[in-house]
Amino acid sequence: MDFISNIFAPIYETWFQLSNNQFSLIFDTLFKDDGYIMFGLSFIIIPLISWLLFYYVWKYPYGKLWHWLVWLLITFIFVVGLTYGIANNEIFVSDNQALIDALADSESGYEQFAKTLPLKYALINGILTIGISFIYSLILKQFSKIQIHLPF
Amino acid sequence: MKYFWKLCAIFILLGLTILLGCSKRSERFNEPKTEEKSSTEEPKKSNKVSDTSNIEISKIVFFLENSRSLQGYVNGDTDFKTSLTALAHFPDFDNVEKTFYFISGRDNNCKVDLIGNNSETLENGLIPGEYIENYSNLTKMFEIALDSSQNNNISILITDGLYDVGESDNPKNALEKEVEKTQEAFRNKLNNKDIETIIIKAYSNFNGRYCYASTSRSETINQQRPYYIFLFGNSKLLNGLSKDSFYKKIKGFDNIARFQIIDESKIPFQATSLNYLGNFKFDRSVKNKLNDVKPDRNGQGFQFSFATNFSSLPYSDSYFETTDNYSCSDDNYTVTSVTKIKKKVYEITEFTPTHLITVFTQKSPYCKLKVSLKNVVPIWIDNTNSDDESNIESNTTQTFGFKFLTNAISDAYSYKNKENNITNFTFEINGNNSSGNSILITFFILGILIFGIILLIKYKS
Amino acid sequence: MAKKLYIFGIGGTGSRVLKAFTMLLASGCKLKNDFDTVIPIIIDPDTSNGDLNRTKDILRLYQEIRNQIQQPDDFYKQEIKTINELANNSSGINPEYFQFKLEGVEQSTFGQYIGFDSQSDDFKNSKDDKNFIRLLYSDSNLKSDLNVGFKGNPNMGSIVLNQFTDSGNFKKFAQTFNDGDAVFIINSIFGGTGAAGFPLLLKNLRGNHQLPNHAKIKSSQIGGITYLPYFALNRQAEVNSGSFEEKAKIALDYYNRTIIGKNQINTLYFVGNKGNTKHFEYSVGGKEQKNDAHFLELAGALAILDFTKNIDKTTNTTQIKEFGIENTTENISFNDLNIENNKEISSPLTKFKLYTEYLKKGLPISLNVSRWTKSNIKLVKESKNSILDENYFNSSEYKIQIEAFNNHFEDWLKEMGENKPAFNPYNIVDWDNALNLLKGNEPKGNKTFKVLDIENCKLIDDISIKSSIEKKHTTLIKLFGKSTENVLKKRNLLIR
Repeated sequence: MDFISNIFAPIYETWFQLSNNQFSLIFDTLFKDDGYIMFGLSFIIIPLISWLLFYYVWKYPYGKLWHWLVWLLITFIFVVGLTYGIANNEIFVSDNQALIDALADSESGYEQFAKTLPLKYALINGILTIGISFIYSLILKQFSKIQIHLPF
Repeated sequence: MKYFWKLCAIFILLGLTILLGCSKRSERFNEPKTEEKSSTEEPKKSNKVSDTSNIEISKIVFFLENSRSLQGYVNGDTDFKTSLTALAHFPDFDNVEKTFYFISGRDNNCKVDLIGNNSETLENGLIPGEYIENYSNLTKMFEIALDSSQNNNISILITDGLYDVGESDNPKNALEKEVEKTQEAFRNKLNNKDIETIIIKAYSNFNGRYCYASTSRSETINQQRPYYIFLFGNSKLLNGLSKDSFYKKIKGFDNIARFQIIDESKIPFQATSLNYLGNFKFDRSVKNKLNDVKPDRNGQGFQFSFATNFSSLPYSDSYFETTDNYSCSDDNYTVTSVTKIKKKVYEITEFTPTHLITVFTQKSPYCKLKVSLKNVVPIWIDNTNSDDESNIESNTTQTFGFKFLTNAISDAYSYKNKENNITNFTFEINGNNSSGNSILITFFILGILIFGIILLIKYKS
Repeated sequence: MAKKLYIFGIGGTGSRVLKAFTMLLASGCKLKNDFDTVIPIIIDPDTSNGDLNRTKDILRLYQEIRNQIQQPDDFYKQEIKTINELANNSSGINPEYFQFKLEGVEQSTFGQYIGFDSQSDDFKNSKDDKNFIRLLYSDSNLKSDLNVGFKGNPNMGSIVLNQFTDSGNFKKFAQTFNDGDAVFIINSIFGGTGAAGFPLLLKNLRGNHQLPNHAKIKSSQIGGITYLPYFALNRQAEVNSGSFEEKAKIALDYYNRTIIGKNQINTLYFVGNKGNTKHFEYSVGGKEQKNDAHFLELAGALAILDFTKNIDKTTNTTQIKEFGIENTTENISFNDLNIENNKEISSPLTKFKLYTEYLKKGLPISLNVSRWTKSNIKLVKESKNSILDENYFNSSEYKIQIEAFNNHFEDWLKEMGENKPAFNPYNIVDWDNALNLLKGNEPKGNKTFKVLDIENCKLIDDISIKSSIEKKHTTLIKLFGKSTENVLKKRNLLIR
């Protein structure tokens, strides 16, 4: 699983610079408890399912660009919400006693820093969702009978 | 169509090749080099210094040098007497068999006279009238004391540390000759035995005749003078004694030096995010490996700190906190501070850190860095040495030829020691190769995806 | 072996039956027993006749549309050709070739035609031809303008129509006749042209040795349908619909003695409807004679299908067949038909009806919105873009061919629905209840045109509906042939 975590972790830590050595316990916990894998799967699997539904299940022949945009927005919101929940759970309800202690210690600064993370991860995943949605759309539309013309 | 599939196959093969190559690369980084042990290994528990339990002292043998040069220490109510009495009644020795001897004499006539077999009999060893011998042979005394420290015995030698070189035109030469003998004596005793030597320097009032070591003259003085308590024994036993409560019993205690057979101690350590300059990332799979290391943008250099637990080492805090006691394998680096950790370091979960060591470089930071805690002879030994005992009235702190004595011991131990450092801390400090593997994998996957899309879009039936 | 069916439609009734037949062919009905080409031949001196011109227009549109479909396999499956195309092996479409022209009938009276004025009236020398002629023809007959037909006077028709069997067109017909080909003749017994023309034509087919391929023609299968009175006029004048029945009786007697008695024809269909008829607007002919489509004309078209279906069962003895429906009703729908007839026409007509309704009411919603109407889809294979885009639906070919034909179809159904008895199998639908098309058969589920649009989206990529050569209507026709089939089948609206 470390191998898979190593695929997703750099997305957040390197690409989006969401890492801080001072609070490395949080990021190590996310790494070891497969938190990054959950984030990664969120922005990969949820949009995939969403766009599969859009292109192959939703049989509406009068789809326009704004339908696609609305679907994108719904997917975005779903992924953001899910990621927020996962991040919150992984950080604040983890099994890592050291992290629990660190969060409980108000002087350590962990709690204050950790509180900002779920939203950041959620927004990052939201941005990634938009990007991957675009890619999925380009691929999935090729095989769609009804929504092949969307987004363009 | 065939062309399309061939292209896809080539692309996939290429990608797999890169992927496998990168995996091999990361494995190489993980493998420790044969010539140095990896710092990533879990520090083995040293059974030399960390495990001080389960060995009990069988017997303590006290040797009091009763040459005339020590008479002044027992004249009146002196710190010397107080300290020895306290030593004899040290709580840890309560249920241990004790024997007290006088020891003195010249050359091979060094004699050992029993004072008694319990702490109360020590009083008899602190009467000035018992200190009448003209000569003392330190080397011989060491030999006897070392012999008595076999198995689980501790021997304690109390001496003024003066080498009696007799009338000599060149006392220094004479000292050097004597030192060779002492060294040989230690070397012999250290063969196949784990014997640690602790030298405690203490002060006491001396009221009596100071007997010169280099001449047969003597002089009456009434002043503070140093004396020395040598402890010999198994290092586990002596480490167990090495605590403040022991030293506090010695009234007039000044300093301590320790000599032991060193088998490199594996004590836990971990790089931290405290007190750093520049930037870096901790490698997740390899402990104490720093990746993506970048010096400070404003040219302030690169610095990082690592925490360790020195509690298993029998050295004082001042020894640990003296930066000169450390060395770095890469000349670019220096240890800039060593401090006690007072606040909890949450990132460290595998041990409780006691000290934080900071290293710094103004130059290129990339290397395999080894920071060592050296086994150094304390400075006080040099300061305690005097090559000239002519002005003894004003000299309350030094002992003639002391350095020679301690050098002899130190050299004997150095000869026996394979490893000159007490412990080593190794780190890998890398630039941007890092999560390079991971990013490569990520980009590879993305690349395939985008490539596939482009081919798909461009493909026409 | 490919066979041809020559259909002679004589007079107004012939035109109207041919129209009904063409509508059935457009909806996908096809002749059985390898009759792959239909050659309609209209015989009517009334060149400006409204019914004639309408039928010719419909036939022309049918050909033009079919020519723009590559290998039609549903709508417009049956090929229709003119004699001229066969004889000259040309592909030019000219609706005039559907009609056998009569010489000497334009701008002349019957009297002029027979040269009445030049006849002698020398009764003294027994050469009083004029008065002899007067015995047979009234003054009004002699003064009758021939270019509006024979006004219900077969005695006139039998004289004038004689000429056409010597005409070049008839010779061309004979030249193109092959083994296995068959002939079907449509006429009305109460009219002027049809009543006269039918026996005349039959006599020539069976007995004219001057004709090329006369042996083949003589031994060929010939069928016909004779219409007994099925409509009336709202007033009586030169054309007296009250005399229709009387004339029919006389003609029937003649047929019985000659045509049927002598087994001149293999199968003779009779159809008519006494009593329950609508009164049409009075007209003697010309463009004013534009009778509304009648259900019995559709029945006549069924006779043609029946004839070719049972061609192997014909004998040398004339078979007589009558048409009937199962239920006595003024509002006929498919369920009132015999089950065989129902199966034969309800599915094709319903599909075509759905198709025409969609193009009128459904297309405006989906044009340039649904993917099957989009030709500018980006980042996909070229073949995924549809040619049925705005440009196509705004093109002149679509408007003057497809739309025009569909309008004729709608008019045809509407007229039958307003006639008496009415043939009214369909509900009036709009976008929301499009599939509730068939009376008495409300489907479940979504009834909107959306269903058809979804089906079109699914089928538009089907390679079988695409044209490899430049044939403009291939995709539209084949697409809707399949999509209407799928949609109606899923909802059990097709009776097979």
